[in-house]
Amino acid sequence: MKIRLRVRFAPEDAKHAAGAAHWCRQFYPSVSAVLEQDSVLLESDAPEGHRLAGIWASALFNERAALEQAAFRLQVLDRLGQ
Amino acid sequence: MTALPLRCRPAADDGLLFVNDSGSFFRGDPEFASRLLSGRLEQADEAFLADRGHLVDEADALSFDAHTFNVAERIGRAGTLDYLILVPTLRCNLACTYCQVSRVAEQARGFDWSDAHLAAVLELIDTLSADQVKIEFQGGEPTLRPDLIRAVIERCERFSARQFVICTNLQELSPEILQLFDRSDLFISTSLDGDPGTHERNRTKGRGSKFFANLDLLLSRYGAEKISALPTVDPSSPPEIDALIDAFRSRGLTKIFLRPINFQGFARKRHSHSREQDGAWRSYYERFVRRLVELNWANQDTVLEESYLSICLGRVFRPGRDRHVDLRNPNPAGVDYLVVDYDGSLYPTDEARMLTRSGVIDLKLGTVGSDWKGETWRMLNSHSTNQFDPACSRCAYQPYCGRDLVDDLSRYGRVDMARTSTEFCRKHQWLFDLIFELVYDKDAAVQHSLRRWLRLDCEAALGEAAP
Repeated sequence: MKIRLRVRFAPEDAKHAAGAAHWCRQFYPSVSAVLEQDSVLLESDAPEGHRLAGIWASALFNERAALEQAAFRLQVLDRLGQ
Repeated sequence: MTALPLRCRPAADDGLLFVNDSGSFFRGDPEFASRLLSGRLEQADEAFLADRGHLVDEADALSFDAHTFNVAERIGRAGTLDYLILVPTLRCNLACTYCQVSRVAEQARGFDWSDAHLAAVLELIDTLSADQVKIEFQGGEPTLRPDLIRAVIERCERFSARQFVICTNLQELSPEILQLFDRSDLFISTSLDGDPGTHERNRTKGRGSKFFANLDLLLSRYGAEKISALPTVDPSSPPEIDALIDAFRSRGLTKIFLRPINFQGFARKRHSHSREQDGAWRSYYERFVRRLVELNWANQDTVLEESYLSICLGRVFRPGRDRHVDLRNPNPAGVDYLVVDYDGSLYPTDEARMLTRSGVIDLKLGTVGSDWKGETWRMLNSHSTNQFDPACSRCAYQPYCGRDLVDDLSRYGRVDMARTSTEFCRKHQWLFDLIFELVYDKDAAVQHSLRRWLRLDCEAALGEAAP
C-alpha cells in the first residue's frame, strides 16, 4: 500500500528543502520526494512509508548539518592556524 | 550559545536519533526535532543539550576545544607499519568454490616464495621500527610451508610483543605444524561453516571428518582462546541458525563472524549473486543476532557474539578502535599494514591481492624489498576518507563508519560511485540502524548482551533521550 505524506516546511527551511529532497531519494530509494511551493510530497510503498515524517525531518536536519559542518571545519582549521 | 552540528536518523518507530560529529548521540521525539530545527528550544531542551556538549557558549573555549578533541578522537591515526599478512604459498590442498584468492593445486610449481623472496621478507621485518608486530600467514594453505613460517617467526624474536596467526584449513596436522602451534604467541584461525554436512559440502568434499577431528584435537590441546573459526555463508542457502551456532558453541567457540561469501576470487564467477546482499540476508543476520541474545540471556555463563556486530558496536562506544582495517576512517592503504604475496608482490590489503589475481584491477604496490609508496599508493590514499563525501556528510553514522576502496573496486570497478548506491554504505546504514534499535531496546536480555559485547560491568543506560 502506498503511503503519502505532505509536509509544509518553515520559510527558514526553504533553502535546504531541495537538497533534503534529493538526499531523501538517495538514502531511501523507495521514497519519492517531490517539492512544491512550500511543501514536499513524500510517497513510499515500502516499509519506509511508516516513517516518512522522520525521514523528511532527518533529511532537512542533515542538509543543514552538512552546511554547518563545512563552516565548523573552517573554524577548526582557523583555530589550528591552518 | 552555539548549537554544534547534529545529524539525524529516523528510527523504526516515531523517534529520531541525533548524532554529533564526535559520535555522541541521543534520541528525541519529532516535537523535539521540530523545536531544534526551528530554534525554539525550551529551557529543558537547552539544559539537556548544554550538559552533553551540544550547545556551547562561544566564550567557553574549553568546551569548544573539548568538542574539537572528541571529533579528532574519531579520526583514525594509522601508526607505523607493524602488521604483515604473508602468503608463503598460493598452493592449497582444498578446492572450495568460493575461494577468494583463486588458489592453485597442491602439486603446482612456482607458487611458493623463493629464497630471494624469503630474504626480502626477513629484511622487511628488520626494518620495522615498531616494538610490537602482528603477522598473519595466509594462503593458499600456509601450513604446506612450515619452514617459511618458522623462518619468519624466528626473525621476530627482537620485538617486545609478537602475535602470529596461521590461517589454515586444518586438513593436515603434522608434528612439525603442532610444534609451531605450541607457541604461546601463535594463534590459529580456521573456517567452520557449520555442522559437518554443511562444512563438507562447502569445502572438504569427503575429507570433512579429518577437519573436525583436527579441530577438536587442537581445542582439547590448547582451549578455545587460541583458536578462532569463521563461517562463510552462502546467502542463497544459509544454514539453519541453531545448527550453525551449535557447531561453535558445542566446541566452546563463542565468537562467530557471520560472513556472507566474499565477492572475490572464484566466488565472482561461481557465486555471482554475492555482489549485493538483499533483504533476505539482512533478515537472516538479524535473526541470528537475536538468537544469540536469547541464548546469552538463558545461559549467562557464556557470551556468544557475532564478531562484526561487536566491531560496529565498538565503533559507536569506543572511539580510537582503528585496527579493524575493513571499517575505519580514514582507511589508509599500505601504511600500518601490508600484504606480501607468494611472488613477493606487495598489496595494501588481502582483498586487493584477490582482485589483482582475478584480473579486475592491478592494485600491486610494488615488490618486497622495493619502495611501495608509488602512484598506486598515492591514488588509493587520496580517497581513503569518508570525511568530505557529500552523502557521508549527511549521514548520522559517519563518525562510526569507514571507507573501503577495495570493496567498491571489487563490486563496481570504481571508487566514485554515489556512496548510498554501494553495498558498503547500505550494509552499514542497516547495521547501525540495528545497533541503535538494540541500544534503545528496553528488553533486559538485549541490554545484557550489549553490555557483555562491550565488556561493560555497569548497569547504566547505554542510550539517552532528550526531554
